[in-house]
Amino acid sequence: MEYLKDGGLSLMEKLNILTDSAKYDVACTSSGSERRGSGNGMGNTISGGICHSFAGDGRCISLLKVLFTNHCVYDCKYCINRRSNDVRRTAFTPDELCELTMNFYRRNYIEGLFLSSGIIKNPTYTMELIYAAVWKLRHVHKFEGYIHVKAIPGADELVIQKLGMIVDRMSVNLELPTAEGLRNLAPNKTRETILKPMRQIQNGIIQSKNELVLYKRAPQFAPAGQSTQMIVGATPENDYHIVSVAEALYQKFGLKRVFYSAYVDVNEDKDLPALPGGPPLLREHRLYQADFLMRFYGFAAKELLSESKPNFNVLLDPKCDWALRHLELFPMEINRVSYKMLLRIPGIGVKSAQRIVAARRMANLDFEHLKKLGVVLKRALYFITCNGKMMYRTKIEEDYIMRNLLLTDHKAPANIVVNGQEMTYKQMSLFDDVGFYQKEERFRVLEELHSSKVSGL
Amino acid sequence: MQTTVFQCEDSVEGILTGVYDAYASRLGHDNCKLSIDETEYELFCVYKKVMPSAEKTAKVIRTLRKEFGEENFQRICYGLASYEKDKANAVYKTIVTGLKQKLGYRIFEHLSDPYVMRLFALQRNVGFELMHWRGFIRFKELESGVLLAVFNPKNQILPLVMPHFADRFPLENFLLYDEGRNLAGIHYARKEWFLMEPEFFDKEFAGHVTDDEKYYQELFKAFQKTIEIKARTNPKLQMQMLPLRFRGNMTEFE
Repeated sequence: MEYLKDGGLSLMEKLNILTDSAKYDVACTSSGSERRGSGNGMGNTISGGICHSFAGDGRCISLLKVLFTNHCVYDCKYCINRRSNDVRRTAFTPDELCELTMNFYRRNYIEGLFLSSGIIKNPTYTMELIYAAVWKLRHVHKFEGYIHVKAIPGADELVIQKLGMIVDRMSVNLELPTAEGLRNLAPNKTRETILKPMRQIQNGIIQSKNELVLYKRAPQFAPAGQSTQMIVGATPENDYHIVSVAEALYQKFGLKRVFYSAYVDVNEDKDLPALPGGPPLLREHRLYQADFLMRFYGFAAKELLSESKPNFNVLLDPKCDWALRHLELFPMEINRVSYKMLLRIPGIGVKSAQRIVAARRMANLDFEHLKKLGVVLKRALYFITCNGKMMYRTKIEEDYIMRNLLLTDHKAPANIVVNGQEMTYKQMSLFDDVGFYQKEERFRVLEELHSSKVSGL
Repeated sequence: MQTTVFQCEDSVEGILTGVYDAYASRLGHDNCKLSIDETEYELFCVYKKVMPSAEKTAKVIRTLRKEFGEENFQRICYGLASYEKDKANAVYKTIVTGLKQKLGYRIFEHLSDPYVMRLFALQRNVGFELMHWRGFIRFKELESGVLLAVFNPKNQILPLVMPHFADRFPLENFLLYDEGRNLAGIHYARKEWFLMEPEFFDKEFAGHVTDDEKYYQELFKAFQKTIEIKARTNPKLQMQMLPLRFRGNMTEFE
């Protein structure tokens, strides 16, 4: 590889360069694979995944997330490694990569390796280099921890197939939600070349599962499944488009996760938007919330948004927003309503809904129980009854509930006198920012960053 | 009738023997309490010391496994690893409720019962802490090639976390030391792990690491710093996900 010369950089310099160029990739989860150690190597995997550290931006560090190389023949406008950028280029040797992974893993710094890469020569050539490195890690160093590898669109099917047999998760980046966006910003990639390996991996996983039914020890193809990610805010799609794309991916490609990454302006280009307010983090957060509603709460994309209302409410999370538009269904009786409907009540999550269903078989539940079961009453109280009673005297009225939900941080809404009879209303004006900025702060509680890692009930 | 308080030793054996004795006393469960606190005394109570017995413990464990199933037995064990003082009584009363109402494997679904709820909360807390330490424990390589990690868990995490690392590093010699409880978990390559109370733990000696070790520490620190996206800096979120109490022995925060 004569053109991979980099003037003899030290491992430290290489690690810095190749980490720096990999960090915009979001998926750093180590979940989905459960494998005990064989006793002859090093490592195991836990189905919930493990977070090993947290970076200064609050994102979890679970895997050694690096690029194999940041040399790239492509020129995607949003990417820091685009060909026309003048950045220092380097590449790991397979031995360096193995050394780093093994020594970090041994000290419990990481849960495994997340390997992505820029493209040298062509996709197939790059994939083969990655395969060689991962093979060495698995078979020479006997590494049995988690490995996540990016499949590069356009690579030969055979090498993807071979790689899938020795890694835990594979993913193909969708990059941008629409084919048009891709044409504008990533001229070397097309929707077709991206979807092709995605389909291949899906088929590989299905086939491997079928083989496992027949032969108990059949080798598994990407046992932790497939994920993808897309950049939000670089192209003019609205939220409705994005969640629809995600929904289609879940249904048609059987993906484990779709990740959303708020666009960070690392390059300046006339085709890219300016971001005076920083990356669109709130939008990203709302998308993750909607994503969870679709995967675990039985919501469909068109229930959350529509062509006429294509973007998420800035002030309210998508579930509250949905509930406020469907007040005719509320209040629901906690002791009677079905599990499916429990999931639709704001303030009740999957775990608390499961606990409610289990606990109400033994006894009638009241608000005190709900609190201990983990229900967020300050949000749920407008939508539920326990044994026919609501928690406080409240109105089932959109404006009223909305106002109170926005003034959260109190157990009882600020303007409700708990024991008294009177309830007063506070006028909200456009310029009234009470509670708004506090809420803004709380948006950053990025549950999605480690949500896949909650264990216990 | 007076309440009888069974004072148990703070161990699995101590508390489960206490459960056995409380049943055997035939005083009625409403009149019995379990406590691991040997300094606090209430008025109008009779106190009985419980002598831990392996035989009684084995009997109780057999019953628990049979009646509630393996998974719920494990949850009770997690509850027993809690640092909270009222765990003994919560375990005792939960067992009573479970057996009396024949809840079987549904025992932890009866969350409207205050003791079941309490034990549920305790075991969940232990489970969360275990999950955190599995990620946040940091090993150092000593000159002898042994891996050493020191940590300070709130709950009795050591015996719960050892199987995880023994499975993960079968070919390593490692030592995991719970500083607050002066308890060490030791694993020799290709052998079963065990616990011991070291007579003294030489922190000086533990500081002798290889040059290699320092090198990889530096590499990881650099990695942890570089991976941050500056445009998204959010120290509050970092603090929330990784509170200070975990950071004492973490390489990247040294």
